[in-house]
Amino acid sequence: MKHKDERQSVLRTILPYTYIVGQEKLKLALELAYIAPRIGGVLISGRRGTAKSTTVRAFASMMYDALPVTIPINATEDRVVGGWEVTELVKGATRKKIGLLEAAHQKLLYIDEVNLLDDHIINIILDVTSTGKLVIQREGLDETRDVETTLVGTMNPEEGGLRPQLLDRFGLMVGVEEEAEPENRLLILETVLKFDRALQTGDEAGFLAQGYAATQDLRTEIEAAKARLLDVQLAPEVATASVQLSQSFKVEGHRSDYLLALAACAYAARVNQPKTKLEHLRAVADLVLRHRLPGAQQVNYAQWGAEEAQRLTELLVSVPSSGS
Amino acid sequence: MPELISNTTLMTSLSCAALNPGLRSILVLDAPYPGLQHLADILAQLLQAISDLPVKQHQFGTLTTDDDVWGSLYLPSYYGERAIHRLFSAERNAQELQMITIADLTTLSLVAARAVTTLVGAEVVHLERNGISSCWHPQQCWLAGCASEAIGRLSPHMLDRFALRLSWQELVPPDPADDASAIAHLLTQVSTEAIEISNTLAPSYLEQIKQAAQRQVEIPGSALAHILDYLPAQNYYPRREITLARFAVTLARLSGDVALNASHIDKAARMFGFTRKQELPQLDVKPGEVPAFPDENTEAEPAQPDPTPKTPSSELLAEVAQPTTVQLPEAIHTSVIDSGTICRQPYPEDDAPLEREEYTLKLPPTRYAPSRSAHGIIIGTDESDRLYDLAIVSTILAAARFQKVRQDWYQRKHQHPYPGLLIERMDLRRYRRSLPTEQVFMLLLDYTSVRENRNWEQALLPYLHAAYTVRAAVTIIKVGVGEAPSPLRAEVVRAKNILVPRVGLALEAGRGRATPLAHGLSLALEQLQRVLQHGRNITHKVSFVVISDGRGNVPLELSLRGEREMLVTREGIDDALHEARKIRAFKHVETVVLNPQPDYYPDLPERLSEALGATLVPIPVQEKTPMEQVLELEVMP
Repeated sequence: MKHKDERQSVLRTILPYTYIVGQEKLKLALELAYIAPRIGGVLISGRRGTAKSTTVRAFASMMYDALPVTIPINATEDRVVGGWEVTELVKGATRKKIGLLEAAHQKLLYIDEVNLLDDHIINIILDVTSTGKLVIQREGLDETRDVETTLVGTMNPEEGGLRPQLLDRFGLMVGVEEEAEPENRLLILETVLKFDRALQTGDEAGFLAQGYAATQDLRTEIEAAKARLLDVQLAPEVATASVQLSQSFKVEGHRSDYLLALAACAYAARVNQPKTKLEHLRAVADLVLRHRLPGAQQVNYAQWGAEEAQRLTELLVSVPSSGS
Repeated sequence: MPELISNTTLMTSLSCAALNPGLRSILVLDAPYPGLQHLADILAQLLQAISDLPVKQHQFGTLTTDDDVWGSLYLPSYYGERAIHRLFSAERNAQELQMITIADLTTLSLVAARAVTTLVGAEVVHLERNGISSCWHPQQCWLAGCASEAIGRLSPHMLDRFALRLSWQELVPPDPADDASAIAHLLTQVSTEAIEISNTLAPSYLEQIKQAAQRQVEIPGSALAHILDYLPAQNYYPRREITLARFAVTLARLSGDVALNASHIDKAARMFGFTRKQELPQLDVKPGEVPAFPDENTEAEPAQPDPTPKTPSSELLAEVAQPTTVQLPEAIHTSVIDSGTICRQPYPEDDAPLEREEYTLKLPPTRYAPSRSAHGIIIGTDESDRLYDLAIVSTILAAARFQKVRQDWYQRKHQHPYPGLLIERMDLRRYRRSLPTEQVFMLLLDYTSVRENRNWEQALLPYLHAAYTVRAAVTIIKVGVGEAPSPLRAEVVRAKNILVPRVGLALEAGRGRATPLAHGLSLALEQLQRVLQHGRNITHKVSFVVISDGRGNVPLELSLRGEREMLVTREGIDDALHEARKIRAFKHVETVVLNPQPDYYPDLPERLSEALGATLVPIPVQEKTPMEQVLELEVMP
């Protein structure tokens, strides 16, 4: 109960999602991963101060009314995997305490500074995300649990990259950049200062209340998109283009064609379209391909530049229409 | 040291930091530790004035471990959860406002640096360790010191967490008169107690801060747009702009104004040392809004008179600010606000040379087959299945949690209690340590000797590879380098490993004119003594590579005295050979002399190698171009 209160009071210090300025790709990636959980997750890489963590927390608090299940960089194995409730254990009672991986089942599992996480913890996460099974064999426990989670990681590439195996677990990747347009910079300043004031004054001006109300509408919209996903038809030309894009960009791994098609379906559901179009594929292609381009795993700054965008356009134009 | 509370610029900046939680992470450049402590004391009083919680001061440092920061294994029924010592927790966060001082960021332990990255400026902190699961919105104030010339050693990711930057040199410029009186005072002190400096803030000042904390100001978008003038889009860091905005808003609150205006932003920018761009951004200003842009074109011009109507409290403050009209015995301040510069170059990391390792915030790789020897700095504890380097307390605590269950089981099985602690393999904990340096790669590079043979880099490459493979610590002794502070002396560059950028910079340095080889070898000798003979070192091998033609032309005594008597005598060579023979006596040192095969005195490298007890390896001679041959003929007598 105490912990629940703690988390609820912290929740009131999170900026409402609708107040996040710009960062449209980042928002899109989070929403797609929510609409189609089989996407697997989102890796968010960007320079310092680009609202990466703020956006993830805001999104989770909007969609789940809770903070995301979070693995901090100081987490120990017993909390990640699970173990015993220590308070009860010393009294002689054995009550299990579920770990973060199990707590994140069918939810969002967030790792801030994912590139700074201890290697040992990364190995555990890799095991679980690749098999969908959490095997607990420690402190006398021997259990297996099904765990399906949407992994969301944020990182600053200045502090190192990720191992290729972990990188592959993220279905989508966003390269976050600063909002350099003066209008957006100004809007960011206004939002931050209003948010500061709301936290200091207990939201006298109703800034947070207004924002939370707006998030409810958006949440309903995204929930509806999720419900529509299974009804979205994958157009044959989108399926063909997904395969062609993967081949043409010589991507690493075998999941990109499937993920391209799945992300396009999620996008169609998000924009309330019954059938996928090539423009939907275009909207999500960089999110799927960015970290799968040849050599991307050797650099921390996986880039999707003008050259890649141009190639994408050319490839999509050349895809024959199914005529349907 | 002068009394800091009479420094109005400093007090303005500290007051802003106390008033605005978004500014409560302060990096003070070039501050002496006592100065930093005084700042912490002042900040603590300011925070106390505006907070309902007690302010507690803590220190972060070289020996801070994970357990200090986040707590170790705990036994709730015996100790009670509250008594468990951990610096950061939801409970402490709710009970106190923490003020953390870091004397020197460059010597901060790795786990403390990671904690700084997690905690400073965070909206939420999660703790998931040793059975504890908690999260909270942190309310802390951070004050860290760092020498500006050492800023290149730090992770920019960590530095970015510190919003407010203060320069000690600019805020407290050295005053010889003060220093002289301080020395005189110290000499007359019978005890070793430091000079007492009053940091106690006047109640009237604290009252003003308290009032400012209650005030909020209107923030017209048109006024805020003025900020975009100061930070160019091509070098745009969102947190810097946000800091400037927060500072300007807090200045407005401190002034007692009802709305933010351009003069507040100008003041804030001036204090930060920002200059204004000439071009203004094309922004739409809605009709009816307060005009945002005053006519001044440069930051050097005086601020516009503040057109904003004053609140009654601001008028009161203005009265208090007149020392002639208000007599307050404790009052020290003549004004609440002073907009002198607090830091002319607030972000020195933008231009600092890279001196750090890559990925400074990553934990060292785990050793799955730990060495039996307990070396390396302890940075935490890990589970273990071996009996080497056990963390005894953590092991006992881990076992203690299961005692009730195990003792009940033992009692049932044996009909009597077990007389001691029942420890099982799963309880074992070992120390997690940073990787110790077991090998050292030392290079003495005589830059004057390789001018004729450019193949030295190729010849050195296998030794660099070997140093990388064993993750050896690196020492480079630069002899005869150009732009040396003292051309008659050699210099030492040390690095944690071969990947540190300053190693590459040292190898690329230009050549000088003098060759203080004897001094270079003397420094090599000192380094060997340090790594092989000092304290509980664990270095078991030093690879020492010398690249020199042996033609030292500076006697050792001259190097030590630093006198510029440029007499080229044989003494320089004799001294070098003498120092080399001392190095020969060391065990665990493998020495190689890479011979540049000079045209003159070709026997000297051989003699140097013999004196060092080294293996002599020739550097392949580069064929001379026709032009070089002609030039050489002209030089030859």
